[in-house]
Amino acid sequence: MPYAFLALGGVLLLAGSYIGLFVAPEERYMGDVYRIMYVHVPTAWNALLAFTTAFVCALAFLWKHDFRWDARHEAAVEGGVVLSGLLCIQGAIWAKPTWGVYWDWDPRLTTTAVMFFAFIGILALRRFVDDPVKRASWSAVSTIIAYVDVPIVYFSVRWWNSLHQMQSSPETVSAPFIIPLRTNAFGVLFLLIGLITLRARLALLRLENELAPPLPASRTALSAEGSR
Amino acid sequence: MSEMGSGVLSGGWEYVTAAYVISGVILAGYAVSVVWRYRAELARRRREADRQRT
Repeated sequence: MPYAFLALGGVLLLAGSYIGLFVAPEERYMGDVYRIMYVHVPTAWNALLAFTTAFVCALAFLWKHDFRWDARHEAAVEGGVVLSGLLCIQGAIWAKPTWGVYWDWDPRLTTTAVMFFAFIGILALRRFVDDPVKRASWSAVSTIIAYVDVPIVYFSVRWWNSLHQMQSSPETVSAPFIIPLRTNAFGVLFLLIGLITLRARLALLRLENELAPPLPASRTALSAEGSR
Repeated sequence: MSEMGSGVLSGGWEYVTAAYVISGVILAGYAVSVVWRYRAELARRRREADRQRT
């Protein structure tokens, strides 16, 4: 099933990118540069969605104490970090021709950078804690704290003066621009679902291995002799 | 290089190309990494199970 999501996501991304690059018309003021929006905006939506998934999984783990939620939590954080890192790179590439700089300490950019590094910190925390129970609990609590920044990222362009434009809606975007935007948004979404599912299975396999009792030394020695 | 002045951007395909290529490389690279790590873990478990049987 996850491979079907990966394939579907890949096909949608290829189709959406083709439409965005070669079929959709130029934007009146930004010309061709705005075509970056067809990958930047879907990446942003799905990065926030991944962190929201991580937040829900963290809450579910703390409530149920079921390690399957911890595996999903780890997978969603990793997916969100990859997408938010990519988001910052795409944003910098778009900012240079439109704003004249790759980076500005604007509220949207700053809060996004804080979100990216906060969740990288959670992945680092998971690497440094050996006890699976402490690792799952501490990282779940950390995710809940870090998630406070996610709505701030979303509303930052409304709350403060920002170089970054406000969110668009279907009413403010012309129809020819909506098709590649939605196609890529679903493409990244299906890719994310497939990747989180596979990554959660991987996390669970590793956890089972960690929690499994070690083989007795004599049995290991016998196995080694037998295999010679 | 894009030109500014009239309030309308022209050109800039190099930025568009860079954004799409980097997005493709990062997304595809991460997807390959997850699939590879998952399959490697499955293979390791199979080897472990075989060793325990013998």
